[in-house]
Amino acid sequence: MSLLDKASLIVTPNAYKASKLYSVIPSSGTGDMTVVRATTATRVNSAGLIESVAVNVPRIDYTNESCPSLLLEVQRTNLNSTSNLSGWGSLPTTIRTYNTTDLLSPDGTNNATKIQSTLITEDVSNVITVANGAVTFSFYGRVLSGTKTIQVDVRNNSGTIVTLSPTLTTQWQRFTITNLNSGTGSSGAVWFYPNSIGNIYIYGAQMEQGAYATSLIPTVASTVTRNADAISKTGISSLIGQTEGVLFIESAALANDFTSRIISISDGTLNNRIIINYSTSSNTIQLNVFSGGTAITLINYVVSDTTQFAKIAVRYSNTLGYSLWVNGVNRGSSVSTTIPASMSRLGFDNGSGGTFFVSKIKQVNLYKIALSNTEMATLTTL
Amino acid sequence: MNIIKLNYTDKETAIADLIAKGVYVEVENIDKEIVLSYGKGIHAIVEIGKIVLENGTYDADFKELTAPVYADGYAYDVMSDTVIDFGANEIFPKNSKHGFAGCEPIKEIKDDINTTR
Repeated sequence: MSLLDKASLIVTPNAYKASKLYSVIPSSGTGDMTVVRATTATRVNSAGLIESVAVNVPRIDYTNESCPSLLLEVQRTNLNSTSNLSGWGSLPTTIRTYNTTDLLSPDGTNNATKIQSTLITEDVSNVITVANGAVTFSFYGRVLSGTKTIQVDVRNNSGTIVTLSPTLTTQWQRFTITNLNSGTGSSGAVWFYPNSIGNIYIYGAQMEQGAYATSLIPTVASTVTRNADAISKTGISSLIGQTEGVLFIESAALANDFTSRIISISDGTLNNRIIINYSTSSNTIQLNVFSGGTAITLINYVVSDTTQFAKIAVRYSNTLGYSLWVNGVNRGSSVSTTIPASMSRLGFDNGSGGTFFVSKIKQVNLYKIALSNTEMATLTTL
Repeated sequence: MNIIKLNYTDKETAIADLIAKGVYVEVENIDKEIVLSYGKGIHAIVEIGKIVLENGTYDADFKELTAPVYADGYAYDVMSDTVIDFGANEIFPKNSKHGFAGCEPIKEIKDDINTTR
């Protein structure tokens, strides 16, 4: 019997509809995941174009890859209220053309902004209200021919400026600038310096409170929030091994940002659960088990980069204990044979609906049996 | 889905009220720290902060010349499954400074009624 046949649940970025991500196994519908995100969001589709995704629809995302991932993001707000730069300030001789027909924007329409510079000292700039902590500014940029190196300065509320000098080419690229400084003010600012006479094209300018950029949140006249992606399935005790089993994921973190991001099998509470966690320690994958509210097992494994895809599996057994496997190798074991009671919920979260598993996911599998070491190695080998 | 716009005297008062009404709940995280999490049926809590009524003025380096003029209070937006009574803290601005993606304000429909149904 193959590993495929032994699985009780397999979820991949595949078939979906509003509020549902279909499981490959079982095909009866009992394993279909429930998707909640009460706002629209954007993704990169199979044609490489940014498109809006409706409320409660999971995001099958093709950013920089032909094989898609399930994209799970935190709640974020685009604090720049005009993502096409309208309303931004500029020196008088700079001309901005909105919805230019010179080229197609990253969403496949004519809605990029052309900035025509006639003096090398010009800039396009704006003040943006931000709170304390890291901010990240992102935008898409390109030119029509050749290349052009511009300068973008991002100031946060500390007054500290971080500078990026990206080279624009004839292909759309997304650039991000993170300013990690903290201060007590309430305003940040962004400056585009074209640095030479000629045209540049800008699309999707976004300022977020946070240490990395997330998917585009288009804005027109006000700041806009995209809710977090919440995916879980309750009432599946029949698909979760109660005395032994395996939880397997193939995923990549969106950033090494020192926050917890958890996937779990649980009883729907924080008291009884087995979790895999991109932990608050740098590039650390963590296995953590709670039974009756008490932490009974903790295994940490440091990888070189959590933003690279890894195959991670937890094997649990009331006779063998726990082991954490990452990329084909057993990275740590525990002799504890206590298994959390009444596990009936798979959640891309902490077990009760928080601390979402913010990541890109290729697959999630459950097994109701403790696979052999050979099978665990096969399952988790990249 | 209910989108509720709130204004409080300050951030501390806002958080206390949001906890009292179950919008925020205090939970212990994996690192045994007490953190604020969303209550049952709460989809989003957005800290808007101070609302700018009039922009400040700045020099070429965005050094502040005159400070922005802020509305009184400290604003939050909440998205909830259920109706929650926030009393006088709930506000109904005409020109909202913040929205949720794909959630347009409800508009009055007069002329598009399908009379054949």
